[in-house]
Amino acid sequence: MAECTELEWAVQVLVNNFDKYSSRRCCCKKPRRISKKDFRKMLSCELNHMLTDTGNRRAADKLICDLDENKDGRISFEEYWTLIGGIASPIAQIIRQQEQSVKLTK
Amino acid sequence: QGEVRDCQELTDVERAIETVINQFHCYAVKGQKEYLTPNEMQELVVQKLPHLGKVRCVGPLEEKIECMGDPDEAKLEFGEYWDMMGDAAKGCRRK
Repeated sequence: MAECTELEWAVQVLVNNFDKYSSRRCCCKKPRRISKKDFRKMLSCELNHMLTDTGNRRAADKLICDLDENKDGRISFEEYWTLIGGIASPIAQIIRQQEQSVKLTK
Repeated sequence: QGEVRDCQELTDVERAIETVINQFHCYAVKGQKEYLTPNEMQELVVQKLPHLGKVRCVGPLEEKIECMGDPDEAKLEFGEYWDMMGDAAKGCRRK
């Protein structure tokens, strides 16, 4: 992807991030997964600005708790994508609300 | 090095998430950033995922968009948009 678009770059970054934290020990036949411990590490290393907001952090903790329930203990790529989406979605909402309040005050 | 950095400086992962959000907002004209119509989604995939779209997943992505109902009326919320980006992401992992 020589001249990828901004959005393609973004998707690629998120994919690479999964690969960075998912275990390398897995044999190639098994799909890669991230342990919960590494996922927490990833959140604090890679998402520390977005999660400084206590509300966001609580949301992230809840997401990890929900994940505990499936007792699988490891996060697949699909689960990872859903989790990041769970963090992105409230942020998208905050951006919308901020823009709306800016419009109202103008 | 982490401490030295300006605390406002976002990581690549954060910038990536912001980009995905911004693109959604850019194309969600009719729904005023609340939702995309299938037509808007289609436009986004063609214009913003020209390479990823070609990798296998373009078929399913387009099929999915077609299944979303009325191209101008159906509402595609952020979560569904995110899931579709996940499909594109899986496409680029398979390469």
